[in-house]
Amino acid sequence: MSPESTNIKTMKNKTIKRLAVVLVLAAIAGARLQAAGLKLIGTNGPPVDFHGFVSQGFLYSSDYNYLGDNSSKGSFQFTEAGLNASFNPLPRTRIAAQAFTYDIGQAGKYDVVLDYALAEYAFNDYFGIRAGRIRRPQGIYNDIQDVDVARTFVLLPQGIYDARWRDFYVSLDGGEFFGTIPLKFAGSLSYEFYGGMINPSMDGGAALEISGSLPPSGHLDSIDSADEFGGQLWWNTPVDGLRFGAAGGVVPVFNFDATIQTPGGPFNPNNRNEAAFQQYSAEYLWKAWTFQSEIYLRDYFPEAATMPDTHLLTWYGSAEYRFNKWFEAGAYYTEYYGDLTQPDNSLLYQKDAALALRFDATEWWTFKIEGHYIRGTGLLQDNANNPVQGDNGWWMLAVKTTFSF
Amino acid sequence: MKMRKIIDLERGDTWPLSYDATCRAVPKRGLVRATQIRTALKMILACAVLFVGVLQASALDGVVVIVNKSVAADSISAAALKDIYTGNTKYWPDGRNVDIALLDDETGTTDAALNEVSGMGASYFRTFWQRMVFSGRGQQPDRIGDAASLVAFVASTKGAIAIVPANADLKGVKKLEVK
Repeated sequence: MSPESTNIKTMKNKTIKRLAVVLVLAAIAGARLQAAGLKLIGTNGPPVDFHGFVSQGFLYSSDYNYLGDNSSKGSFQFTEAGLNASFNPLPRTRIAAQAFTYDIGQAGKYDVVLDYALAEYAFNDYFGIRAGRIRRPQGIYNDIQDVDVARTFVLLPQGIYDARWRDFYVSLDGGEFFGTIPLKFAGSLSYEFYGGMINPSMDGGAALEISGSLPPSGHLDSIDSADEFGGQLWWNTPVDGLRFGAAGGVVPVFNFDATIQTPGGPFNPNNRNEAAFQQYSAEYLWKAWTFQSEIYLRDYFPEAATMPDTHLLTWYGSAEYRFNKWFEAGAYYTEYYGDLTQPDNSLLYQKDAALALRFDATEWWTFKIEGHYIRGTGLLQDNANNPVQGDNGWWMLAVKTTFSF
Repeated sequence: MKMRKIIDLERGDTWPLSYDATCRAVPKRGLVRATQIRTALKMILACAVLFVGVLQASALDGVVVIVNKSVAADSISAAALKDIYTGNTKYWPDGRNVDIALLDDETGTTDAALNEVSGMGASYFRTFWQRMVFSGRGQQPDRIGDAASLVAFVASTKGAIAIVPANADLKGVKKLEVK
């Protein structure tokens, strides 16, 4: 079969998958626009809660193919859908699972994944355990970054919550301890400490990023699963609506296998490295306002002595205002630095000012429109097919609608 | 110096003292002023507590907190109620699941109370629980259209809790006193 016919077949499969996902979930949402509490037929067991969502977005960029595969001409390759169920089989016990699929540009490709599947037991408010495939807590949005209805913006600050990297960041197979400790007059302290294994996908953002960074003669063969350990603390202050967070984690060994063709034959470089991150968050809810700010630091320590350590930094500040039950507006400014040793290199930084309007037509239907003015190209991928055109600022429009129940 | 330390500890006094020739502690000149400042701070604190109390009374005025009769408690502290509505407490002491039910409130009466007990506006409250649900950490509160149906739901659902207008007919449920 020729490469062209393979490509056509792949595109057809992708289109069919997309249509199937959108139609099935839209049908579910349309048929049942309220959360369901169903009992399994023929049993007297506890009711099972079902919830789900389906989002379809549109991305248009003035200069580059950013996030969407062909966003410089307008792209509808921006779909997310999830369906979850949960129930309490025993006292203090919960079981929950969610299936999820997404497509954004070259990432996701509608692969249906088990997003989380966990059992939870809470000994009391202070201490509980959760095990299985769990959502990884990190900052305000990591564990819900693909849930469009849970935020004002279409695109979260991408230097922290990159929509393409969800396979790497969002879930892990393992367990965590969690709880909330009252601090009397000082509010309370919530904690989650986790450990487990992440399973990056060959269709995910990490694979795309690595592939894009290899020389033209290189090929990404595989990405290993990797252990990850970390935690999230939230200090819920005695001031209503004000909380501060700190998160940290480490991936002791992250490895991928690549082959680079050289005149002397295939070469397999040592790509083992240690990755670590820290994130600090602040959030304040005041009347109809929400204010948020976070700073995120990520470090890579390659095993190969010839490779330098890399230090990344992203920060943002945002403000959102709810006018009434229908409308909400928000704005943020964020800066991403892909290498802190070169903060002035526009190929490595990306500075983004965003303005968003959210319209909640009903409890179950949300519509958003958002404009971005961006300087720098540090978060572009696939640069071979997406050449940088100098360091001028560029624009992006993002539109998204979500059905949820 | 040692003697001064001992005197300070015995008196339990953290304010500045000076000592006469016989090592007897006497207040420094600044102490009078410090005492005045301390008194003023106490008054401000008392006013703040009173102000918060007035706010609480106004926001929870006109509503009552009700629970299913399976819930053993007859009263609940404001802090414990906040822990329930912010997802920190998901189970009653007997291990039964806390099932939050909400009134789709056009009047805004229970929305204001919800804001008071959770620290979140109605829309943010909905978003907050969507986050809990879609991250696998919690169960979405049930939304009921009118007060009578909400009371009936709480009456028939073990572990349920709700905020309803004070004039609602509370047949079959237990009123929970907020302390």
